Amino acid sequence: MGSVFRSEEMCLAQLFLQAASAYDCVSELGEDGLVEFRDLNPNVTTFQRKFVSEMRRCEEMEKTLGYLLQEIKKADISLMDCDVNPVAPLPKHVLKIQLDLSHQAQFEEFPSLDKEPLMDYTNMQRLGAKLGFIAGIIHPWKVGPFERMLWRVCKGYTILTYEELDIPLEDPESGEDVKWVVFLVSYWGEQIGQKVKKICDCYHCHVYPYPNTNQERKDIVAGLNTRIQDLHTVLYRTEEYLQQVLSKASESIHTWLIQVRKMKAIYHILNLCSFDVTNKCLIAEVWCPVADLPKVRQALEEGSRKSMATVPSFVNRIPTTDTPPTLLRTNKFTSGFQNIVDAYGVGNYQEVNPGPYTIVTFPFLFAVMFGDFGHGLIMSVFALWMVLSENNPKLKRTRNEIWNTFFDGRYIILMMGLFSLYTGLIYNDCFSKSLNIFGSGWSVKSMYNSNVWKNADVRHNQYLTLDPNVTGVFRGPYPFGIDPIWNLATNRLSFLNSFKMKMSVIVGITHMTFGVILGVFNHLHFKKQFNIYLVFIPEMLFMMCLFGYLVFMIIYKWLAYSAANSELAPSILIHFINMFVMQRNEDAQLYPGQNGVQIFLVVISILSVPVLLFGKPGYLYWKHHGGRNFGTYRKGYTLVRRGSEEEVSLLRTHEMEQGDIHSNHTSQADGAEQEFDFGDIFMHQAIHTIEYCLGCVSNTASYLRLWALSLAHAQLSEVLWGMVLHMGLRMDNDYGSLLLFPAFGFFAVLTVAILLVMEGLSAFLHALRLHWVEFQNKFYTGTGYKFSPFSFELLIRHSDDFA
Amino acid sequence: MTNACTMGYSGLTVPIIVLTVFWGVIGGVVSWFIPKGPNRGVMNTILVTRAVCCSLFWQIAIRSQLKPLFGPQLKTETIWYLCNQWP
Repeated sequence: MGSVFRSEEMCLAQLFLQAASAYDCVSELGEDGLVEFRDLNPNVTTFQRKFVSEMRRCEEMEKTLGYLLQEIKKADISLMDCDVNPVAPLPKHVLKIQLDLSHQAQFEEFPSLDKEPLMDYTNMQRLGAKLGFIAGIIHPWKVGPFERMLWRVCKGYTILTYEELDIPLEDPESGEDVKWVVFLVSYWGEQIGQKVKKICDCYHCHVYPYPNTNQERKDIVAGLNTRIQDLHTVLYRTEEYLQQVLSKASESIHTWLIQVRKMKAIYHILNLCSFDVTNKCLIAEVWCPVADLPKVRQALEEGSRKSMATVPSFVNRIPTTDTPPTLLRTNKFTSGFQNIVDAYGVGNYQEVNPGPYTIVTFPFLFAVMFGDFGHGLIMSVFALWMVLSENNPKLKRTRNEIWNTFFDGRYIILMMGLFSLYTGLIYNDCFSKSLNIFGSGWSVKSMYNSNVWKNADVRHNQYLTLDPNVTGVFRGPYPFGIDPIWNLATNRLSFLNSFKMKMSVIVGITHMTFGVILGVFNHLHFKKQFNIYLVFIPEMLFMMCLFGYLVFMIIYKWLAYSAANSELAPSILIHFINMFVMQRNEDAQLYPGQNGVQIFLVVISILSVPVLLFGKPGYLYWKHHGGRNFGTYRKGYTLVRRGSEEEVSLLRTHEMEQGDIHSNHTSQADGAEQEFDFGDIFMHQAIHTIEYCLGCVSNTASYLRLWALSLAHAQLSEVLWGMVLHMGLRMDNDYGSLLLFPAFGFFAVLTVAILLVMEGLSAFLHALRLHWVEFQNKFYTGTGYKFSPFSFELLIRHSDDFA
Repeated sequence: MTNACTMGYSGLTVPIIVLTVFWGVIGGVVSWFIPKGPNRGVMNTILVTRAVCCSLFWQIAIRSQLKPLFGPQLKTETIWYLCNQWP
């Protein structure tokens, strides 16, 4: 089987990296994204690791780059979207980059000069030699309190005049443009002058010297004006230069950013390695898929070649008892569905992967709950649009979380929409109306022709029921789906409920049986054949004898009973309950000999429970304490004693793969007795048995949500039709056609909001639950951990998400 | 009872044959034609699972309608309409 059905085989490998070429080799490995590094220095803190200074340097560069990026964004220079993938630079190139960056940072300091304000002078009458003046500018919000404070403190011995400036100037503290207010305080007396100065300080005014003669004032104003002109020119020039510098920087800033990030990642990885005894060689331990070992060798050779090292680096596979990570290779289509499975739990190493089956069963179960042709069409078109424009970069990089979620699941939505089209056709439900493609199987005319109905009947009654017993009324089942006449009938729900409930039960039992069968593949792969006889067969017997028989009864009743003997048709549910209670069915039997068959099935299923409960622990106990396999076990025992360290480890690996999660096999290097905790295994098996048996019943009932949700969906769309669009179409006054437009708009909005979004999410959630709980707990453990390789691509994609 | 049986089956054989062949083609034959890429296993699984699911669903729909135990109850206006419009 291909690698998608089961996770790939992984091996632990040791890389011996030459000290000089370590950087290049790791860079090559990062480009390919093949291996996952393990931390060989777990006891060392971040500050004690070997490459701390390099990491610090990288982080400083990152900070400078971040600041540059901010400045570029502030200046509104457009950044080029770059898909460039530059290689991590060598340390000597790094210095050059650092110098460049520091140059750029310096020029940033220039434009933060604050401007001198214009000074406006007011014509003030001079009243006395002791008159003093204080002039300044103040923030406009503070003018009121300032004035009040002056009045209270100086008790009216000051006069405050103020005027707003015409042009807004930048406030150096807050950076905003504010219209400053220029004020002039005139006062009598020295002490009041001191008080006024203190108040001005409090309110953070900029105070300026106010000359006493008119001539001086004019001179000062002229001087200030020229100064302002000069400053304007200087500022203008500086801003131009800043723009130039930033534009040049914006071209290469992305490249720099990526390069610095890659460097940081490489040093982080190098920190994880350990030095060997001679201090010339770095040793790294990696998890690597077995199929990729030749590629790793190639990458190491490439790295050695680039750094022109004399001694090549090489990779060596080592045996291990640790559980390897799980790797499942997915493409853009399968990754969505695999994420659904992984969200429940990443599979154990080499466990059967429910992913490929989920690609079909998940949209199918969704569609059973959502089945409407019209809504499915809208959903498919929407998903198709997303899929066709998936290469549009604007769609890929939006910040909107909700849109990103929908966009990432575009293939899932497409599959769900396509399956909904199909189930909508079968349910014969298109925006709550049925399509009559093949001609209905029910004929009303025949009721007249057979003289069952006469015109008088029709006139005097409100409802009449067609009788399939009359010849010609029922002419055969509708070839594809539900007959369209049921859409017009008032007892539609009686028929549909029965149909959908039975359909849910059949689909559910099929799904669960499939799950149990998938467990067989696990048993076969991990070479535990005894599981097949002691676990799988009792489970299947239990399920089939009870619920498989239920399915049989459903199908039998469909085929054996017709309208002619419909009064005799028994209720299946009552028969099923009676079967459990072992009560005889006095009145009707579904088929002759039913009682005997039912008793037989119940006995078998009851017998399979103790087999399930005691079989596996008993067998393991017997095997451990000597049995038929004693000979081979002994041989394995002596091998452990005689063999080398490598063989011991290999044997341990083999046993680890076989050993299940319940048993504690703690084997020591000197080949001591293996511990066998019978109590633990038995407890685990008891829990499994109870869970399985009770779960069979409750999970079957749980699948009835397929019926419930599809009923809710159908009813909602019927309400929307009846209450909204039908009203709009029925209006027969003059302006009725105009009112149809808003009515349709309302209908469309509610359809999308309630039926597509809300019902869609609800059906999605329930389909998810059915998969995670009812299907996967029959065979899936999901306690592994995911393989996360050291890959620059993943790194950059993650950091872009945060940028 | 036998009348209803034969009547039921006569309208049934054609759809059953058509649809079984259709899903059989999709599930079985098309699988042979999938090019031998890395996705062969996935594509085959998808096709077979889809054939099984869809045909199962259709079969349930048609078998439940083969022998109806009761007929639809219609409003008399609908009856008037259907009498004249439907064959």
